[in-house]
Amino acid sequence: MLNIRWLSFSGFGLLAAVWELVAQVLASPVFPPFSRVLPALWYLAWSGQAWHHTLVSIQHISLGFLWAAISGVSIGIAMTQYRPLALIVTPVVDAVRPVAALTIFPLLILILGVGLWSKTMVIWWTAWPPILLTTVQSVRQVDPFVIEAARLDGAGRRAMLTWIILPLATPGIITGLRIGLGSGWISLVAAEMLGSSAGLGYAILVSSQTFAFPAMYAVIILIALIGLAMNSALAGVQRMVEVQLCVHT
Amino acid sequence: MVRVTIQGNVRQRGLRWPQAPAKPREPPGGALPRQTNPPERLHGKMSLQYDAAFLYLCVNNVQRSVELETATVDINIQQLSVTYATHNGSIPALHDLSLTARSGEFVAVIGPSGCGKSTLLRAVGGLIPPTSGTITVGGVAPDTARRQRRISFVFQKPVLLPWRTARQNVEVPLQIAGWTRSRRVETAQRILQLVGLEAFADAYPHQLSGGMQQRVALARALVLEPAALLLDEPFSALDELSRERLHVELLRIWELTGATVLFVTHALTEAVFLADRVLVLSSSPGTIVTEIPIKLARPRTLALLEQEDFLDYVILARQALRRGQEEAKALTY
Repeated sequence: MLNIRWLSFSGFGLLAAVWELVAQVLASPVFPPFSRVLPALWYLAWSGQAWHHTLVSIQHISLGFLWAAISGVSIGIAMTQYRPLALIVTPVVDAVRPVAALTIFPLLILILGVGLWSKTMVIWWTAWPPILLTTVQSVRQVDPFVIEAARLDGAGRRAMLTWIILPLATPGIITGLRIGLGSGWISLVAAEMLGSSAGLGYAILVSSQTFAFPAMYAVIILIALIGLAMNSALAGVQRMVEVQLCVHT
Repeated sequence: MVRVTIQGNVRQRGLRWPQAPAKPREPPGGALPRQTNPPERLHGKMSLQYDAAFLYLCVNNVQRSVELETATVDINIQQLSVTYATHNGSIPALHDLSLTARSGEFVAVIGPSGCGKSTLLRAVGGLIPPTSGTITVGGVAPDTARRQRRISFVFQKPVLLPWRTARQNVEVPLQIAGWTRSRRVETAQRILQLVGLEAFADAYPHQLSGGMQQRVALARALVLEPAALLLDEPFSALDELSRERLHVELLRIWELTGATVLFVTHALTEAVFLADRVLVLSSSPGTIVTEIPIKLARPRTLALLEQEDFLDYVILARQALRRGQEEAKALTY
C-alpha cells in the first residue's frame, strides 16, 4: 500500500530523476548529473570541508533570526496594543520591506565589516517585516467575542494579553516565524556570496570559481536540506503548540 | 363586560381548551398595558369575542408565584440613542429607546436582524457608550457595574478557551478576580452542577456538544453571581430540541439566582416562553414598538409550547413585530 509519507518524499525522487536525465543528455561540465553530485556531497560531509561553512551559516541565521523574532513579535504585539505605535511603524515597515536586504549590504559591510554582524543585520532586515506583520495579523484575528467576553469577566490589558490573546495568536505567530526564517536563509546565502570569508554561500562561490561544479551543487543541496530542516522544526513546534492549545485540526 | 363563550372559537382552531368556564372572571382594569393590542381578525370577524377570551386568559394566569426574594438590580434605560460613525456619516442603531427591567425580571427583546438588539445589550453591558440618553444598572453606570462584576454576558457563540477544560473555563473570571485555587475549583464545580455539567468538568470544549458548550458559557457568566445577566441570542446556533431543553434549564437557573435578565433574540417562541415581558423592536433605527407582558404561570414547562394561551402570545408578538417592520418601512419611503 502506498504510504502518505512515502508519497510526500517521492517528489524528491522525481526531481533527482529528471535532473539525472537532463544532465546526461546535455553532458555539460557546468551541469553534472545527480549521480556525480551525490558522491561530492558525501565527500564534503565526511571530509569535514563543509562543516565549517555550515556552522558559520547556522550561526549567522540563528543570531539574525533570534533578533528578528524578538523584535518582530514584541513590536508587533506592542503595535496591536498601542494604536499610535501602529500608525507610526506600519508605513515605515511597508516602505522598507520592498528594499531587498542585499541593496544595503555594501553599506553594511562598510559599517559592520564582512563578519558576523553584517550577515546578522541582513537576516534581521529580511526576516523582521514578515514576522511583525504576521504577528499583528494573528493578534487582530483573535475572535473579538472571546476578547469581549474576557473584558466582561474583568480582564485587564495584561491578563487579556497573557491568558487570551497570546495563546490564541501563537500558531499564527509561528507561521510568521517560518516565513521570516525562510526568507532570512535565502538572503543570508546571497549575502555570503557577495561579501564573506566563510559560510555556505561563500562555499558555492569558491567551488564555482575553482570549477568544482559537483561540489557546488552539493552545497546547494545542503542549503536546501538545512532550510527544509529548519522549516520542519518550526512546523513541529507549531503542531505541538496547536495540540497543547487543542486547536490542531 | 362582554360575555363570551369561548368554546366556539377555540374548537374552530382545533385546539383543546381545558374546561372553558361558563362565567369568565372579569378582568381588573388595566390588566393589559395600553400599548398592547390583542390579535385582530384571528377568527375572521369574531374579534370582539376573542378579545374577551384573551383578557380572560391574561387575568386567569396572573397567579404566578415567582416573587423573587433576593433583591438584585434593576436596569433602567432612558431615551437611549446609539449612533455608529462610519465613513459615509453616522448610522443610527438605536433611537430614543427607554425601558426598565425590574429586579429579578426576565425581559426579552425581539426584533428583526439589524435592529440594534445587540447594540442595546452591548450598551447595557458598558461595552459601547451611548450617544445620548442614560443607562443605569442597579443605580450605577454600566461601566461601573461591569467592573463591580454585577453584569455578565452570554454571547451567540460559546466563547470558550479551547485549551482549558470546562471547569477551567468557568474559572476564568475567578482567576482574573484573583481567587485562590481551592476556592476557584470549588465554586466552578458548584456552578457546573447548577448547569448540570458536573460530570463533564474535565472535558475540553471540543469534546462537548454545542448545547453543552453554551451551558459552560452560561456557567462562566454565572460564576461571579451577577445581578444582571445579558444574553445575546445565546441559543440561536443550537438545534430546536436542545434549545428547548436549555430554555427550561435557563428558567430554572434564573429562578434560583434571581438575576435580572435581558434576553435578546429573534425567535418569537423563545421570547414568549422565557420572558415576563417581551419588548418588540423595530428596525433601523431600533426603537420599542410595543411591550407585551407574558402572564403565563411559572414554572414553565415544555408542555406550555403546545398550549393555546402560549400560542396566542406568540401570535401577538408576531403581529407586533410585523407592525414594527411596516412602520419602519413607511418611515424609509
